[in-house]
Amino acid sequence: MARIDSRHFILIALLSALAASSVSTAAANPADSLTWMPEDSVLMLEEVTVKGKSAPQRIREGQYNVNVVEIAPALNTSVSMTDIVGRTAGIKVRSEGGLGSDFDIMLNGLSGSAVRYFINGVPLDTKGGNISLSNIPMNTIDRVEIYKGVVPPSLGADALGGAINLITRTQKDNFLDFAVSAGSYHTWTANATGQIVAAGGNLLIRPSVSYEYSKNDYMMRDVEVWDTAADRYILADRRRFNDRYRSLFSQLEVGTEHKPWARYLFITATYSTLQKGIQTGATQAIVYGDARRHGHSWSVSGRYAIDNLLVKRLNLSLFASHTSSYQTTVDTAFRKYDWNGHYTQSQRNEITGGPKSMLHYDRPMTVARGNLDYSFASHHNVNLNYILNNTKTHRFDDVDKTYRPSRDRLTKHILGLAYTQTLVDSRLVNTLFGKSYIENFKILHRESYNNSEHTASATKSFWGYGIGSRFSTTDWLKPKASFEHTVRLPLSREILGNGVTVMQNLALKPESSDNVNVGILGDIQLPADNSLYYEVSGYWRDVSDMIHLVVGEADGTSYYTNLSSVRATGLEAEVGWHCSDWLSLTTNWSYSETKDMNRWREDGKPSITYKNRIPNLPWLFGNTDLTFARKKIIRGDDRLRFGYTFQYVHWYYLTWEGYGSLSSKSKIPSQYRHDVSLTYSWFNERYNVTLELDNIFDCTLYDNYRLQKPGRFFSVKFRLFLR
Amino acid sequence: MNKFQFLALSALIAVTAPSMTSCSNDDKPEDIGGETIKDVHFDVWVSAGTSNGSATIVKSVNSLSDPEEITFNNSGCDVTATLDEEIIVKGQYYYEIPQSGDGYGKYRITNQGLETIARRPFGKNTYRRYRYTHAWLGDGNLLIMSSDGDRKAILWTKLNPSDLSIVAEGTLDFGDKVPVDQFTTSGLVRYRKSDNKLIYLFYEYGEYEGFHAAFIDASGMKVENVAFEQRAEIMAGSAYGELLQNKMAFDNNDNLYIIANSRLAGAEKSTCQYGRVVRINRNETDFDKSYLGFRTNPAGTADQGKLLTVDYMGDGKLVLSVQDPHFCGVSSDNALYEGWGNNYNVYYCMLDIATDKATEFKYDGQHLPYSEGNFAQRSFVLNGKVYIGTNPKDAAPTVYVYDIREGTMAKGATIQPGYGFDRIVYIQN
Repeated sequence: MARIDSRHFILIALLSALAASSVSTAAANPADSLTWMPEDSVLMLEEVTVKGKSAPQRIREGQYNVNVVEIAPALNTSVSMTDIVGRTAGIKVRSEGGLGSDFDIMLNGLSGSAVRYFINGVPLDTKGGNISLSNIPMNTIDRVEIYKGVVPPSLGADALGGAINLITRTQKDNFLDFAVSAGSYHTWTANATGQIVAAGGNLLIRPSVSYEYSKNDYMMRDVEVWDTAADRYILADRRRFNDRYRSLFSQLEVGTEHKPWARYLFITATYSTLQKGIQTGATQAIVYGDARRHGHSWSVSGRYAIDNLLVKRLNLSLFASHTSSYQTTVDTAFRKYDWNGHYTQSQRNEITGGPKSMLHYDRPMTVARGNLDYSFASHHNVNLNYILNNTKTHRFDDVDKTYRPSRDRLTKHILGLAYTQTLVDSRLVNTLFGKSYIENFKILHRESYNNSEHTASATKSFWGYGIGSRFSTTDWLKPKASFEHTVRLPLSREILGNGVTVMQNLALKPESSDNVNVGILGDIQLPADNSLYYEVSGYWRDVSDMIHLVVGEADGTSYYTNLSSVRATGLEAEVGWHCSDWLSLTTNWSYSETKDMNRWREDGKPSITYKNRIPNLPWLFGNTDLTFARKKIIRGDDRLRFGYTFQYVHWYYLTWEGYGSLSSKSKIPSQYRHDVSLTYSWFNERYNVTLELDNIFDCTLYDNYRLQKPGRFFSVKFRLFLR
Repeated sequence: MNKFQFLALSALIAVTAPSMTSCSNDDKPEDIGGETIKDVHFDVWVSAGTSNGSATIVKSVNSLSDPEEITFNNSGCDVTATLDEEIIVKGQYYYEIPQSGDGYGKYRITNQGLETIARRPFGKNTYRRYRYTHAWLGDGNLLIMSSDGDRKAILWTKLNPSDLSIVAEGTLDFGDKVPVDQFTTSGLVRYRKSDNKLIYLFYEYGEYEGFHAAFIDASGMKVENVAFEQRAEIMAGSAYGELLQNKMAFDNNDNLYIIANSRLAGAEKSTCQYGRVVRINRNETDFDKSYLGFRTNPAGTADQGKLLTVDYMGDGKLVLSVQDPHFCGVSSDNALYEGWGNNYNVYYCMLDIATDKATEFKYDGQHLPYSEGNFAQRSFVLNGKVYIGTNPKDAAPTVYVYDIREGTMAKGATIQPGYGFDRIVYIQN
C-alpha cells in the first residue's frame, strides 16, 4: 500500500480531470475511472488506475466504419505497411511479388482506383510518385486509419470503396529512431528518423531517411524451362533474376507547434528515388530480363493550423505542396529471356513487342487543402474542407522516335461540408455531409489516321452526400451505421490516355457508388485484467459506371469507358483478447460477395453472368495474430516478445465458375501463411533485436494467378531508440 | 407407234433432252468451295461475362445442323488462361503462340480440357502473341510472318506442324527497294499452290493510300515482285493476320480474292468504311486491274458496306460478311459513326464474281437476321455447305446451313443466350 501526500493527490486529481476531459472531447462513452481514497489530508492508495481512450480507440468507436492500427508495436519487426494493413479485417492486399512489388488493396470487395491513399489528410501522392504504402518509412508513422465505405469529408477524397490515411508520428522531445535489417533474397533496409528540439523548444527539426534494397531472387516453383536434351519443356525451380529493387526516401521537416498563433507550422521537403527490375508480365510465364523502371521525386510542402481563430473553437488548417515526379521505363534490349536467365536476340522489345523504348513520364502536381472546423453550443460541429489537385503530365520517349510526345492537365476541386451533432449525453453521434466534385481537363487531341491535332478542354461537376451515426448503450454494445453516395472522378490517364496505346475518352463519366455500413462493437472487461474486444460489421455497395479499359478499333489501341456495375456485400468480424500486457490474441475473418450487375452485354443482349460472383477476387479470408510478451527475462529492464501470424485465403476461380467444365478451369489455390517473430528488447526498449521467419513452411503463395510471392523469408533487425 | 409418231417423239426428246441436262447442271453446281472432310466435329467459341471479367469457352459438338441448343453450363473447355481465340486451326489441332509469348504451341481441345500436344521456344525470330499471319505451305509446313518491333523488316519462320520444330527462318529481302518505311503489324499471307508462291500483303503503317502484294518464292523465300493496289486504301486486316477472320480466299482455280476497305467520303471516323474485292489471278504477280468486286451492296447502292470476312463458296461465288449500318437499318448514313461499333449491323451475302451481284442469304423467304460483332468468324464452307452463324438482336444466336448444290437454307443449332458468339470452326475427328 502506498502513501502519498497532498501534492500527489492534486496531481492525480488533475490527471483524472484531463482524462475525463479527453473522453468528453472525444464524445465517447466515459470509460475513465480514478480510484482514490481520501483520508483527510493523507491518502492511502492500494492501486491507481487511470483509463482514457487513445486516439485510435476514439476513431474506431466513431460513426465511420474504420480500422485503426497503431504502428509502434510493429516497429521492431520487418513487416511493411502493406503487411500491417493486410492483416486487418476486411482488407486483402494482393501483391505481385517481393519487396517493392506492385500491389492492389481490396477493401470491402472493391479495389484499384476505388481506394485512395492519404497522409495526414492529403493525398499520399504529394510525397512523390515513387512513394506508396509499401515503402514509406514505418517509423515516421504513428497509426493507419482505414476507412471502409464512407470516407470522412475532411479527407477530401473522391474514393469509391474507402480510403487509407496515414497519421505521422509526433513527439515532444528529442529522439532518434534508427533501424537496420537484413533478410533473405539479399534484402537490406535501414531507416532513421528523429527530432531535434532547438531554440528553447521553439523550433522542431525532424529529419528522416530510409533505404531499401533487395535482389528479390527468391525461388520460383515449377516454372517452365526448355530442356534441350529432352527436346521439351520441363517444370523446374528457378530463381528470379531481374527483380532488383532499390528505394531511397529522405525528408526534412522544420517548424514549430503549440504556439498561441499556431497549433503547428511546418515546412517539409522530401526527395525519393526508386529503381526496379521488371521480372514478369501479367503471369510468370512471361519472363523479362532487362526491362526496368526508375524514377525520382521531390516535393516541398507547408502546413499550418491555428485554433480559436477569430472566435473560440474555430480552427483552421492549411496545406499546400508542389511535387515533381519523374519516372522512366527502360525497355531497350531486343532480347527474349527464359527462367534460366538465358536469352536469345530478339527483334522486338520485351514488354510490348514494339521498338526499343525509354518512356518518360514527368508529372508535376500541386495540391492545396484548407479545413475550417467550428464547434458550437457544445454539441455541434461544422467542418468545411476544400482540396485542389492540379496534375500535369508530359510523356516522351528518348529512343522510340515514332512516339509522339504529349502534354495534358487535369484539375480537381473537392469541397466537403459536414455537420456533426452529439446528443443523449454523448451517446448518440450523427454526421451529415455533402461533397462537391469539380474537374477540369485540357489535352492535346490527336486523330490517329490523319495526324490532325487540336486542344480539347472541359469542366464537369458532380455531387456526393451521406450520413453516419453511432449510438452507445454500454461499453460492450455500440451500434453504428453510415451511408454515402460517392463518386470517383476519372484519373487523368483514364480520360486522357497515354498518347500511344491508350486513347482519350473525353466523355468518360465518374464512377458512383452507394455505400452502406452497419456494425456493432464493444469492449468487455473480464476478471484478472483480461479484456475482450469485438466488432462485427456488414456492408453493401452498389457501384455503377465503373471504368474499364477496353480494346479500341485501331490496331493495338484501347480506351477507358464506363461499362460495369457491381454490387458488393460482405460480413466481417474481429475478436481480440488481451491479458494484461503479456498476451494478446486477435482474429478477424471476412466474407465478401461481389457480384456482376451488368444485366446486358456490350451487344445489348442479356448477360449470362448477371448476378454471378465476379471471378478472380478473394471472397473468404482471415488473419490471426498471437503475441506473448514477458519482462525481466535476463535483466530488470528487458522484454521478450513472441509473435505469430496466420493468414488464410480460400481458393477462388480465375474465371466465371458456372460456365465451362470445372476440370478445365484455372484456380488460385488456397493460401496458408505462417509467420513468427521473436524480439528481445533491453534498456527499456532502447535496444531491440528481432528475428523473424515469414512463411515458415515455405508454401507457394499467390495473390494473383501465376504470380508467385516469396517463399520462406528470414530476417534479423536491430533497432535503436534514443529519447 | 407409227413412223410419224416415232419421228415426233424423237424430235421432242432431241429438243428437250439437252435443255433438261443443262437445267440439271445449273441447279447442281460441280464447282464447290471449301474442304471435304468425312469425320468432323465442330468447336463453338463463346465468351462469358462482361467488363467485370471474361471467360473464353470452347464447346465441341458433333453437329451444327441439328436444331438443338448448345449450352455451356459446367460444360465445354475454359481456355481463358491459356489460349486466345485468334488461333490457327488445321486438321485436329490448334496452333498458336501461347500467352507466355515465348514460342509455339500445338493443342487439342476437348470438352474435358485442353491438351498440349507440342511446345517449342522461338528460334532466331520472335513474334508477338496473336500479332502474326500464317499460311500452310505445299510441303505441309506452317509459315508464320510478321513485322519486327521496329516495323522495319518482315520476319518469317517455317514450322514442322508435327512437333513444331523450326524448319527454317529468316527475314524477307526486298533488296534496295523496300516499299514502305514502316510495315503493318502482321500483314496477310497466303500460299498459292499452283506456282509455289507466297502472296504477302502489307501497307505503310499509319497510311491509308493503298497496299502492296509481295510475291515470294515459297521455297527460297525470295521476294520476286511487289505489286501495288490503290483501288482500295487498305486490305482488311493488318494486325491479327487471319488468326480469327478469313480476309482472303482462293477459288478452285487458284485465283486469290482479297477483301479491302476505304474510308467513306466525309466519314466522321476512320472506321466508317466501304469495301471492295480485288483479285490476283493464277500465276500472275500483279493485281487483276480488270476486276473490282462488290461495287454495290445487295440493295444496289454503290460504295456501301465494310467487308469483314470472305470465303469461296463455289460456283463462282464468294461468301461475304459485311458491316453496313445503313443497310441493316441502324443508321441513316454510313458516314456517321452512329450505327457502327457494337450494333446489329452485319449481314451475310453471296457475291457472284462474274456479274458482281451481291445477294443476301435467306431462310424461309426472309433475309438472315442481322448480327452484332465485327471481330468474329462465324462462317465457313465445308462438305458442300456454307455454315453461317448469326448473332441477332432479338433471338438466340443461330447457325444456318446453306446447301450449295441444292441452293437451300436450313436452320441449325442455336447457342444458349447470354454469351458472346465469336467463332465456329470445324475439327477433323
